[in-house]
Amino acid sequence: MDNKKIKQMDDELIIEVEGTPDQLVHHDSIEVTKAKKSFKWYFFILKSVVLFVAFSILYSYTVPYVQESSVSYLKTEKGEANTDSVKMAKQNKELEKQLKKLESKLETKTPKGPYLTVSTVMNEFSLYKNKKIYRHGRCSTGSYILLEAGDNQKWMFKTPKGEFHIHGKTSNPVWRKPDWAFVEEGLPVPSANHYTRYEYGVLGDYALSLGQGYLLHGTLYKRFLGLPVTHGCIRLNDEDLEVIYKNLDYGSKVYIY
Amino acid sequence: MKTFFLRMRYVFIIGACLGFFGYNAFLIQDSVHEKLVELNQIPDSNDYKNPMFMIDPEANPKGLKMLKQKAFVESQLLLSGADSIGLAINLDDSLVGLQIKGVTIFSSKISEFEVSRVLDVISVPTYYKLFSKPLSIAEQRGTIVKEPIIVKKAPKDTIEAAQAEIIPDSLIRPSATLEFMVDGGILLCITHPEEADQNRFKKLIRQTWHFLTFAVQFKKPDYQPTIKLVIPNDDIIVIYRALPYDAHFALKL
Repeated sequence: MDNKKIKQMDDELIIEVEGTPDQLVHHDSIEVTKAKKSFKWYFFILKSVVLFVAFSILYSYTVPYVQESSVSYLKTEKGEANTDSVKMAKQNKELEKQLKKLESKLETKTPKGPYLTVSTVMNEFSLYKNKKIYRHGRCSTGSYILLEAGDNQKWMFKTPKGEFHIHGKTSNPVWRKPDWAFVEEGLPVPSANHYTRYEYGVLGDYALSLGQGYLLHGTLYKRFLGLPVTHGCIRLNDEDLEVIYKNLDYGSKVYIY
Repeated sequence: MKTFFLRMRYVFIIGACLGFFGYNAFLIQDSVHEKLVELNQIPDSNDYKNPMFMIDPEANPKGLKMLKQKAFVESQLLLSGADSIGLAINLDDSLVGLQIKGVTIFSSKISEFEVSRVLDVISVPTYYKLFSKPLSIAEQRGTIVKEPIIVKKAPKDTIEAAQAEIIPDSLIRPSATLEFMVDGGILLCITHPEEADQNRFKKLIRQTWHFLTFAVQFKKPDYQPTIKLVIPNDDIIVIYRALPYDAHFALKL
């Protein structure tokens, strides 16, 4: 510090360097200025980012509008068109004729006899007669439980979707318990015709077969109607089951979705 | 001079942003035009000479309406040939329904719908060629699972079986939104009335990111003609879970 004179002036530290009297270096001022400058830059970057984000959001809002509004300026290829009223009338008559034919063809696809629709999501059924809803109510469908046992044995309890037919009708059905019924209860699986496989009265008064082991039947657990709790069959309450049993015949269609 | 530039820097930034987005706006417009050209190339030159398609939509709206209905019925008839469940959307009657073998097994009222305007200006032959056969769904995206599978291990004994019993006490109906990518690069969105409010922020972020990725590369953003339907949430779940993965649908605009 030999060649420097240090003065305290107005709370500012001034270093006077010997030999260069007019070069006053303001140390604190330099620090403050540096800080101010870097702050200004940060602030500038921040503001730029905010601006860019704001523009981007505005842009993304604008894009669909620009896309849609630009359609107005586009010319479409119409091709040749009939503008003669006589030709147009003839054209319309021909279209009407073709349309009627097609619509009647589509109409024939809907069964004339009674049929049943079952929703596995809503757990509801609708019985149709003369193409109108005759009875509507709750049912229970597959639980979507995937039961995994040892030896890579798996059972999926879901109601299949699609078009089915009534394959058979039974009154006072007896349930022949399959293997999964024992596995699910933690019981040993008995032999194929063991007496423990047969349960009476659990399927209600009637059962209608849809094929592949799937049935429309009654239930003891009426509180679960409207919920997906079955092993794939469709459970109904006694009254609905009776109406369905009496209205659906062999071959009647059942649509499950 | 330096101070001038410093003072004007925001003007430059805003100007640059406007220029950038303005240029992209041109690209956006061009992408729509490209899509329309692409769609209008579906029918061949002979179709434009077919007397059946020689309908001026403004001079003969009745004829156009019948042609649209004809295309829809033909599409449904083709759909009825399949074994699986299909979808039939009739925007004219505001109805969406599930069909199997030509039988409507479920239908839902569309409360609102939006159709990209490009689908309104496609030529008559294009409309007929595109919608007189079932559209195939190439990709399905849903906010819910298609099959709500619950995996359960087999119990060792009856005590464990009693403890592990799963009995639902009510139906779980989660909020559902569907997006189907279909033929002709058309996007079909099915939402429910409450959905729009729920995911507004998420959508905004997704949309911004999507368009920005194109914009920063000065690329034409992909233009997807979109059909947006609003139906009750439960009906969306019914439709999504009923449709197979390779679903087809008939559409009438």
